[in-house]
Amino acid sequence: MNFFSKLYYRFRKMWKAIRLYLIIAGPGIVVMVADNDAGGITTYAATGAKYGYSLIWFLLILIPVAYYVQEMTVRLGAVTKRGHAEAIFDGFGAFWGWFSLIDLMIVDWLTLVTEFIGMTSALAIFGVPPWLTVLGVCALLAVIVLNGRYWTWEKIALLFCALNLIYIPGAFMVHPSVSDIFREGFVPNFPGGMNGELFFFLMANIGTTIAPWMLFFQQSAVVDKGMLEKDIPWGKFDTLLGSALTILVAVFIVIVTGTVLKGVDIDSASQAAELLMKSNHWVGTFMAIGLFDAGLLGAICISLASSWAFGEIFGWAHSLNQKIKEARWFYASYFFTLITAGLVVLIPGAPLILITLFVQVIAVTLLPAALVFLILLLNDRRTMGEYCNKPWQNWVGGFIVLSIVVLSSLYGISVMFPSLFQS
Amino acid sequence: MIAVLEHKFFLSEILGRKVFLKNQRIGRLSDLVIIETGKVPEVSHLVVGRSYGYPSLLLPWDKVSLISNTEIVFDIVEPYDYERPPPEGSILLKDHILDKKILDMDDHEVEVVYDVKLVYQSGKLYVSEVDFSRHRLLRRMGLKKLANWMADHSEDATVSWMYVQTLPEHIGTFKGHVKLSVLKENIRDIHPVDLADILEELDGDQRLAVFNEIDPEHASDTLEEVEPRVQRELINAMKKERAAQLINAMSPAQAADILAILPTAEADEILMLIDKESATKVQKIIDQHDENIMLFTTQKYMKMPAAMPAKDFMADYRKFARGMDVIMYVYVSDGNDTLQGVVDLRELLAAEPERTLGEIMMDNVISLNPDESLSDAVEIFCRYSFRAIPVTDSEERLLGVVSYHDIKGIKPRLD
Amino acid sequence: MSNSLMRLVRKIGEINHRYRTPRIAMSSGVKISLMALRFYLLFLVSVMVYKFVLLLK
Repeated sequence: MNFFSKLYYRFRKMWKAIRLYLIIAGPGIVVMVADNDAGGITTYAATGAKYGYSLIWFLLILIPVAYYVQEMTVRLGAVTKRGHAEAIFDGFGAFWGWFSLIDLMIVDWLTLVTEFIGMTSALAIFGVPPWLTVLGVCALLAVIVLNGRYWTWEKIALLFCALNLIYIPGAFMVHPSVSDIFREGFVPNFPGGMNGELFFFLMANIGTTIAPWMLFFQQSAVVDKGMLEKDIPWGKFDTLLGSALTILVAVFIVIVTGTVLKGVDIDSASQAAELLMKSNHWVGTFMAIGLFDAGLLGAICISLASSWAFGEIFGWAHSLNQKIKEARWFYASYFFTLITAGLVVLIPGAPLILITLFVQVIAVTLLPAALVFLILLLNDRRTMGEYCNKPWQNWVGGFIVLSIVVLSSLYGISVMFPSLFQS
Repeated sequence: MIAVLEHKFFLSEILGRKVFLKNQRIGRLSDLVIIETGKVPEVSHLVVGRSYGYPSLLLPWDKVSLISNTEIVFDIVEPYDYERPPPEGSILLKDHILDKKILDMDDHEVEVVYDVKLVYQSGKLYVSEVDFSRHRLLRRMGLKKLANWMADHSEDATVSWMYVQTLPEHIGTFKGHVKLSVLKENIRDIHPVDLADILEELDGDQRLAVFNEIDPEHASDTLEEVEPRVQRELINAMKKERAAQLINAMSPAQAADILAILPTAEADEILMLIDKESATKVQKIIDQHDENIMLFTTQKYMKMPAAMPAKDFMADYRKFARGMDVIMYVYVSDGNDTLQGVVDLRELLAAEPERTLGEIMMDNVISLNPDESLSDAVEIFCRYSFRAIPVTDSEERLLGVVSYHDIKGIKPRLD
Repeated sequence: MSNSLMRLVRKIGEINHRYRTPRIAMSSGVKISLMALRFYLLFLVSVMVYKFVLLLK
């Protein structure tokens, strides 16, 4: 075989791999990018504004953290062909099942409210009234979901994921100093020393990276897509790519706010967008569009996560591949959560800030439980067979879970008692 | 019931063709599932890819009703029953074979499988050849003009599927290679005897499918080498024009051999189609086959009485043998010329000198009748591998001896 | 209305029955993890109650 043939052989092999991946791609990327929801964008924007590029290294650490947690749901879903809620009911009995399910419903609904807050405030910058935003979003999601195919839903969600990359050109437009980014951002350091406030930011970043709904969502998506054991390596790669992508976007948000708004305290991403607009109209616009997109993507996924979970437990038909008639309850619960969450935002004088904070508190009641269940389920050799957790995976996963549990619990508590970390 | 317009095509050409269920367009052909049946695999299922994430279909070959140049039609109405992936362990022609490495017997890399040739034969689709010529690749990439130009200026590089070893069990999208049972250097000219051996192992349709793909010159050499039963079957099944073309490429003696085993009507038909000049030659040889064996007998052989002692014969052997055609055997006869037995010269040499020829001789003699033909004699020679056979009448009287040496010239293939 | 409520109750009972026994093997590791989770949740709830009391004051 000569050089040409060898080259061709390599190329075809790689091309086959890419094509195979493109068929499997979806759940991992969507769940990870959707994790950069309205709340996530706000956290990153605030981090960048407060500390500049200094915490980029910390965000990079979050890539393996997110990957190792979510990768377990891929295996669990592909092997058992069941969603996460059902797996908990089945594995740990009705008590823990109901606890997780109801907790998930509350967290999802609250998170959904924050997505609507993000979306309405983002479009408010362009002068769109909140009621129109809520109406438009509900109509849009109805169209996406009601066409009756998982495939279409996934492809549209991927499109919104691509729109999430809008922060990358945004970052280039503010002309950050690349050498500064590398010098300040890629060397682990604690700007201003380790104090209560910095700790609060680190916890907030972890808290937005791993959300309980993600576990439930990805496993159900893997099942609805019909992934098989042989697809697991591709599903894992999908998850890895997704976690890298989501952190990439986060890093670019930090770069944007860290360049333009360094040293400013901001409360929300829409506020950041308005401030950015003053210095560079387009960057601010991108920020606002990105915020809306993040909220929308979050809404798409989160509303599905609880509907899937309910469908699994109540035995309703619960697949996007089914028509409304076949899966009446599935779609009813989907729209119920969606519309009620949207309406809350429209109530004049609703305690929106309180809700945003409350999400974090409720999340820490669910997250540790879900993570512990995940590790225990992955160690069940009877169902997992050869896809059971290896000892090193248990060590890595166990360490990550323990860190997340401790940090997010502290975060939740610090939200309740802000004075605790502001010494 | 199945209509196939072309009987040969390349995998790359058939992939991507529109697939219809009756009149309803359903998708495009995305792969072929093959099963190995002996040496030459046949297509068992077709994989049809559909757009917008609808699951692909696995349609059995027997449901195909038409393969035209642009579309494939199935005799199926409801696609739902066929929505399933190819079963575990099945071999997919595009996914598992195409673009794989070709290894030779010693695991040296030969080339990449650029294309696979398929042949339609008696209701089945066989995988006949692995194509590793570069111009096939260009054609696949859509550079038709360039491909044609290259095809004109370079040799076709193909290898018959007969030389592909049984595919490894674990062959998959990324794993496994296509391994040949020949050496890299020999791919372009495999000895006809080896080819013949493989052909004999195959059964009817498979054999015809691959035999039709061998180029004429090679095919004619191979046809000579296969056993008569297979020769008969092959010629019977192929077009008479092609048979004539192959026979034309042989020497007249070889041609006569093959025609002799065919039914007379068929042989005459082929004779009409080959060159005038060689036809006459061939006809002459065939006619000779039917000639009486007596024309080929000789009287120059050694005839001795049974009472003669071995030592006397040996002492005068030179004198006896001078001018004789058959000197390996001594024929023992009585005064009436009745054949009593035969002594092989080798046995004489080993015998006790005092014993008589009558004691040493074999008395159960294989002989020919005077009304038998040349081809009968050939058969006897083949079966017993004697150097000479006596001809006797009904009363066992010795009429003459046929020497193998004499008919070898007329009949070159006595194996 | 009451009819569908009854149906829901029956459905929940059915689910409880179906998942009455945990299928996962109750090794000591699993038991300890679940116990730790219970304590953790109790702790969190008490913290939240405390916060609520503070808010009321």
